[in-house]
Amino acid sequence: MTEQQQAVASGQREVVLRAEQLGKVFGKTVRQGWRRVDQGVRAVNDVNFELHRGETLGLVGESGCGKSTLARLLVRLMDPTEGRVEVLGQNLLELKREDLRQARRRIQMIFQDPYSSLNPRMTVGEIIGEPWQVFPDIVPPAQREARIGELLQQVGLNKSDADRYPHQFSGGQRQRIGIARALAVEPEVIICDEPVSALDVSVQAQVINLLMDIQRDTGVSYVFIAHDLSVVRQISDRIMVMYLGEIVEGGAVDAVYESPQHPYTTALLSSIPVHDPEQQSRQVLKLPGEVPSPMNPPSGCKFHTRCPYATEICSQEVPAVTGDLAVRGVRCHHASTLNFDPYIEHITGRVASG
Amino acid sequence: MNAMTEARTRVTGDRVDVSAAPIMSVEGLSVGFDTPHGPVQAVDNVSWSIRKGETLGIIGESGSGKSVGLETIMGLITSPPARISGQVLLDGQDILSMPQRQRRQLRGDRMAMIFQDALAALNPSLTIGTQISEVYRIRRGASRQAALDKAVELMDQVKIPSARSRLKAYPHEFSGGMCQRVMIAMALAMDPEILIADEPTTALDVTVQRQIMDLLQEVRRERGMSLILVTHDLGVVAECADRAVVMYSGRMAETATMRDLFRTPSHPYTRALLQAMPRVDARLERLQAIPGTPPTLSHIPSGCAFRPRCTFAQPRCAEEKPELRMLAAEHSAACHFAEAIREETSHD
Repeated sequence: MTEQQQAVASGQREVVLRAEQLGKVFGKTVRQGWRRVDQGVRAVNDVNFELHRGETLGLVGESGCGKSTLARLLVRLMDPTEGRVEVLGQNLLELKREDLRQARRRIQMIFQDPYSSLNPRMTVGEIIGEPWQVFPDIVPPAQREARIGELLQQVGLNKSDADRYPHQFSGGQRQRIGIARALAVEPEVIICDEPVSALDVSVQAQVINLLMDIQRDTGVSYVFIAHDLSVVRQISDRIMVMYLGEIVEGGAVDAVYESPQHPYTTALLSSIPVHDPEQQSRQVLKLPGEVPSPMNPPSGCKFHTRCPYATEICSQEVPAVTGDLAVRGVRCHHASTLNFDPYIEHITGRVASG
Repeated sequence: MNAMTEARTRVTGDRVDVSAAPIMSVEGLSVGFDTPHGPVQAVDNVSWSIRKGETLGIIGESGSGKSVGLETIMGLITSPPARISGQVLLDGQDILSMPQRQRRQLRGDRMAMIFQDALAALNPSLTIGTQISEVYRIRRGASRQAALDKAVELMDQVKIPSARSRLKAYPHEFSGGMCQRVMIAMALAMDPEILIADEPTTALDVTVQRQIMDLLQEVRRERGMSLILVTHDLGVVAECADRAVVMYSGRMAETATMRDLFRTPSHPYTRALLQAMPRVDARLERLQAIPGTPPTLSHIPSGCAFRPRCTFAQPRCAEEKPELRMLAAEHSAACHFAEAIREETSHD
């Protein structure tokens, strides 16, 4: 266990972001007597977690699982239909316009597409300095130019880049500009929505290192959303796996990767192509079909239509969560009886017998 | 171990006869374009070959020239406007010098290509059935009904469930993975000897990527087809390919069997790429990132294009363009210090 993980385990550190029973339904909710019935698409359901200072929470899942919706709920770019989001103890959902604006100083976001997330008509200096129009107290006007230079250097660019335009930069460099913009307001939390998936392999590693360096230097916390499980393992302390809007498994990153308890987590881990032509003898837990439409999710356990271990109970009853999904928990009827060792040999290095 | 053999991605006995003559060989292929920013060399003196039943991986980042080279082979890029030189030999005949009419006969029958964005590659206004069966009607003169029957057969082969009822569906009604299957079905229609797959799984989720890679390997094995797999994902190549070509800035950096490429990478770029990948089996203190960014084609550095990002670079690298040199059987690299690097990596 690293120091960080120990601190997390003993609950010593300050909670900077808390989500409680967070949910989002697109479309409408109607009342039928005393009951509220969803007549829409449930994109996110019952998400609970606490994020500590200096910690990274990884969030993985396939396209359409609701991870980007969750990201938008956390910064209140979208209003949730239920639950609450607290940043440093302050409930974002109760805030009115100006107060919300002020609260956003604490929580920033980095987007996937470094091309569409920067205004092409602004110079890099203007992009990075723009947040200070909203928060003029952070840096006095006289020092802004110098601060922009510092931020550019912090993300590995040159001071002189402040006068250039986004189109003069490559994808990786633009992602660095987006990071500098997020850092300009000295936030406590940065939500990173697939920040490296649009980048080439050789550049991806640079940006991951940069994010890790910034965390070490500033103590910022990340919620890191990605579909690449190797990237998530590298950067995260804890991880949560999402399927059709629900967290199905979560825990410390090493625990989840080395002893997954949910069949979906296992399928994701065993499907990753391994970078070693001589280690190809593991079993792959293959899933039939594709993710069902969230418009019409399966009954019971939402994963049962693709699960090789599904039994009758899975299609009838929604599985209860065993443990705490944010600490170590799983949402599966059969979790306690399944052994996934043969599927994760490439991760643990343990050769399963049999 | 019995339970495991079934799930093995590579099956012993599936190995390709390495002494066999290549089915296609590319010799000194160069492709250039005139752009508003001046002439660019997208592919520069590339040579490789592929044998029957073999899977050849072509690895490279965006702008490395991997797609342009293959589109030229397929005849999708022609001269003019491109400046093309070199040869692509199929049965000893140079297909680049053939007239278009003759090349058209090669597409489908001898070679076929599938693309990264399957939804964009399909015609949104025609049904799946029409698109798959089209080729039978045009090339084989089949009747409408016979062609549709063949389409159903193909859809079954690529495991599209309830094929017949989906003949009338449009591409937008299919998911990304299903569209990729439709494209594979179209490519297989004329039973080609070589299938070129350009980033076939990049846009797909991991579990679906696994399904598509399995499908490609299965059809390759069943038909004795050769597969050229273009990707930036080293993992996909490691699992599927027999040999690979690593491209950088339009040139070949290295080519080797998969074992050699991963055990004794001899070009600094290959080595750096392998080290830069995050690992699923361990969390590293720090990733060994490659500094800088890949060059744009209009500003390729002098000498070795990888030089500005290379930890082994010497003054010589700025002056002399390294040629591809053979280091061992089936292993070549284009670096002045390839032998020394190979020596070093084999001791690691």
